[in-house]
Amino acid sequence: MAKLADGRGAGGPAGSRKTGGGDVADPVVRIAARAGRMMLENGSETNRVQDTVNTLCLALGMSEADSFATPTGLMLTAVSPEGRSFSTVTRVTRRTIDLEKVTRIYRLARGMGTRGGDRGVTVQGPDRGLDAGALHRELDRIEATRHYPDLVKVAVGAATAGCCTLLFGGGWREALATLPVGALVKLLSILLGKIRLNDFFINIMGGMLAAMLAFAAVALGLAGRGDRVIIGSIMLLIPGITMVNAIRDTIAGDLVAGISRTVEAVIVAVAIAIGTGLGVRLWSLLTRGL
Amino acid sequence: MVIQVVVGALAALGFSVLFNVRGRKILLAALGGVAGWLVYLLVRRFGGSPVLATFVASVGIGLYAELVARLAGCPATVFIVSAIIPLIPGGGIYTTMTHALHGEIPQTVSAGLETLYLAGAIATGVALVSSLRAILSRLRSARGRTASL
Repeated sequence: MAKLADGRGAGGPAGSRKTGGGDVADPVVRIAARAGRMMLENGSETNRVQDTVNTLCLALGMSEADSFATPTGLMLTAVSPEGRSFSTVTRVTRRTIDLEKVTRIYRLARGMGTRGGDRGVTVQGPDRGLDAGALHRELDRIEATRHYPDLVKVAVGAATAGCCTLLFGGGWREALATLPVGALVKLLSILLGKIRLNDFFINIMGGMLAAMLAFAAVALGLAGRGDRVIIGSIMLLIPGITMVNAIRDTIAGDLVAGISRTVEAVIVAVAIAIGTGLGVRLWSLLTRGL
Repeated sequence: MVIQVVVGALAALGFSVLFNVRGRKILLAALGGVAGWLVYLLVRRFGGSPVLATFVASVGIGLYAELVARLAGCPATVFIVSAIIPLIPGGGIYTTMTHALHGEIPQTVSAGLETLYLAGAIATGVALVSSLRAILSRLRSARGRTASL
């Protein structure tokens, strides 16, 4: 942000091109598409992605911009002041959740356009003189935003699962027993996520692990009620963001995005249930065998 | 009840960390968790059904999130999600699954429907607030930028 403001205030350093001409329309579309893709990859609702992408294009000197985002891709067309149109299609193949990145891109675009940012409304004239290179660097910086270290995530995951056990009617013993279970479930999903396993499988494995470990905790006398431990632990896997975004997208009129997110949320929930069911069955088979 | 609210706040705080929310926004998200869970417990105490309590709590969280998002300059999703996850019927999913596993079809259906009602309550609550926000922002842009709020 600071860098951008600098560039703008100084009227751009000697090496930088001012945007607005036809030959820079292509970079503009590319920057906007990149920002949009990053937002989609990190768990933004699609409505906001479209707003942001359009705002970016207009702020960078395009005279018109329209975009269509779904959770798995982004299409964008911008018209340069000379009347030529430029389009890109960007696929989104990897989806994680990183609200810090979403927030930073949102702020970046908001700082550039005027604030209202309703869809389709022209945001401003072409003479902001923003530098495409500086924007790319800013996006690089945002892309490099660190996550919390894995160890912190595992620890926080354990504590959060413990809290959920308490919220869902477990006692203190159950909550304590949930701590290691939650930690291992979180660890498993981080590891499986690193090798790019699909969500369906990750959640089946997570649910299974939660169920087996919970019953193991009961067998060891650590917890009275295994079901509370399981429920607390699987809360870590539940697709909360997908659910909320599905609703918000649908209400905003982005029906394709809303429906696909709803389906995603249902599939993940079913995967968790299947996994937990497998875990319960497997445990009873194992103990019957002994 | 105090313990429940504190635990709810901690859960919201935990989820916000897992979603890589940073800085003072974490505290704001935890406050949203307090608000949500407090509303939920109050409605339950005054005899509301779980579905009603979930709905009212979702509306509360949505309003809080929209307001704070405006003040903090970031998307409302940041505050909605962490606070709302504790309301999600994880228990319902599990109960439905266990009944299905034991082949108890009627119980499976009723637990499944109950889970759907709860999810629907969250959805309606969140949807209500986002439509409200859309109406407000449309009113505002119609009145020009002089209007306050």
